[in-house]
Amino acid sequence: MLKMRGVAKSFITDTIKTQALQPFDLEIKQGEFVAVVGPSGSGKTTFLNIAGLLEEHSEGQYFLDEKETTGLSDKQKSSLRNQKIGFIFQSFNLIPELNLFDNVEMPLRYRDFNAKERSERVLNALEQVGLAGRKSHYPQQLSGGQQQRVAIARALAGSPSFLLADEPTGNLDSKMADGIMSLLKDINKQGTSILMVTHDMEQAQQAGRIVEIRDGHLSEQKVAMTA
Amino acid sequence: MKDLAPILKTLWKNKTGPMLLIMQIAVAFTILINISFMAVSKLHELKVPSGLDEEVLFSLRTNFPVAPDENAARIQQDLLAIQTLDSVDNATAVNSIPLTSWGLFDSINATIDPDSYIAQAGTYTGSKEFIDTLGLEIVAGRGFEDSEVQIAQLDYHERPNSILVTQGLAKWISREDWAGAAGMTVYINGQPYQVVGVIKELVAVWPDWTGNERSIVLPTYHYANEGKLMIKAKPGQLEQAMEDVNGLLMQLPGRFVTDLEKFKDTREKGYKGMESSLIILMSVTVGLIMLTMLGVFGQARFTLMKRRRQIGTRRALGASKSHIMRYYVIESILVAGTGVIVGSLMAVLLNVKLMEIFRVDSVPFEYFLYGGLSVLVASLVAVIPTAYSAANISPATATRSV
Repeated sequence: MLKMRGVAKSFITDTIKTQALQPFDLEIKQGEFVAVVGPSGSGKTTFLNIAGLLEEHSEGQYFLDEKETTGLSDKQKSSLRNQKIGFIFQSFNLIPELNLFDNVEMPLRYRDFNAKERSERVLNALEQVGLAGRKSHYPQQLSGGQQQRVAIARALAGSPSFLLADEPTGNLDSKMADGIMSLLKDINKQGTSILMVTHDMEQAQQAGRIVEIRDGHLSEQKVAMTA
Repeated sequence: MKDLAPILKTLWKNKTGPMLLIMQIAVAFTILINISFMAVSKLHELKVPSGLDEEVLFSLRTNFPVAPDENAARIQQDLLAIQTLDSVDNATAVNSIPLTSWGLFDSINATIDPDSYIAQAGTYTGSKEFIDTLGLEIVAGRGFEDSEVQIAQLDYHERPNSILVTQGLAKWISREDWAGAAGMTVYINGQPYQVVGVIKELVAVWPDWTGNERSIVLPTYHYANEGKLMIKAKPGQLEQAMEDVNGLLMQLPGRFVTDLEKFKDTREKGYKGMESSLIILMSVTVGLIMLTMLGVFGQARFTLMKRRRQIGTRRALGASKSHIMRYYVIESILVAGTGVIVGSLMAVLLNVKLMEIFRVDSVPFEYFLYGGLSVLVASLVAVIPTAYSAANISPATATRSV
């Protein structure tokens, strides 16, 4: 489903070249739950941005559902992102002027769904995260945990191949964080692959695989225990 | 148009900024429409033909340094002497010089009853060669007979009852057939006058008067101990004629000659005020358009800064650069379009008030059409650079948590 071969990322500022990610190979299969761990500044977010087609890799090949992504135009990458990837951000990134229904519907508007299809998908996704009854509420009327659930519903509504979660519990207290982790595991059990960046080793241990990034080097870690 | 609903919802949720911008555009549009119309009307007035043979005409003011009972004879002698100069074609005494803002007007009535008012008109009187000297064209009826023209003292009752009217006034006297005004009787100050002929054009003395195409010419020149003369030079001899006439008149002891001026200069001076106000009107219009564009640009820029993360999120969730551009452009058209619609209503109301107060004409539909399009294009020009910047926001950095 996701296959990276010799992928690396470097930045050139003035005459200085910074190697953010050393060349690495990685393959994530359908239905896997992979946690990406590592200290701050190690290159986790850069890795996630490349996986989410938000940043271009400097070297190597990246296949998403067998499709080579290198050299795609902005329009092609946007479309691929919209159809194959669901994003979950640390700070939720909901649009405050839109209610929950409209927030979840937003990415669907960039696809060829008609209004009825969009409505069905939005309601299903909100149902899945337990917020269907609050579809007319605005984000600021919800708790942090509920807002993250809406963000997950938004990511799920388009039936993506996998979810990319960047510190999804980073802004939540431990109780809310447990609820979100539990929801992600449920979603994973239903067949959606998840790639989650986290600082929290305890949460990482709940994933099926752990990938560690340290000083731009990517390596597999053994999972000590699973929940 | 999938973006329309979220754009409207977003604008409604944060209405203060867009509402202020809509009001700014509406007020600017209201002023723009009315000012443009006034400016174009003024421009039109500046180009109104005077009916005079402007290239060869000049005027002066002089005195007649003789005993009061010899004034009439002195004027006639002076005119005859001027007419015999080689550089001069013809000369006449006049009560007023066109476009100098100094002169008489009369109310024209259809009957002796003051309620039968037709229109006001500028009043000229001149000596025998008035029509020929000024280069006026009679387009209906006839000019004055020699027997009708006289130089007399100021007494209304001595006036012969023949008058000439301009075509602009003839249209008011005989609305269906202006030429039919020739032969009709009109009343001025309760006295009957017969319209003997119609002059094609003779501009009144007030350049900024909206009715300055309406003039009458009376055949009696009322003399005093000083007066104004208009002289027609032979083609190409204007400067020479001015010198010759001045030299001739100054031969008489006790005489002064002043305000010696080519009619081209008289016209320029007459319209100078209007030209200045036209320039001011144009400047205000251009300033307003720029101010509106800055307002749109500022609002778009402010919104961009506020929505940076949101745009990044949209990009991450699948919006292409063109989706973001489209979103901003539609939003701008909606705001500017609403401003134009509100502004059009306000412009109509203002125009109705101006029509009541200043008797200006109603603003034609084309002004709203082209004005509206101009404001929309100006808004787009202002918003496109911002929309382009928005589309190029990196989703990777914009969505990053701080």
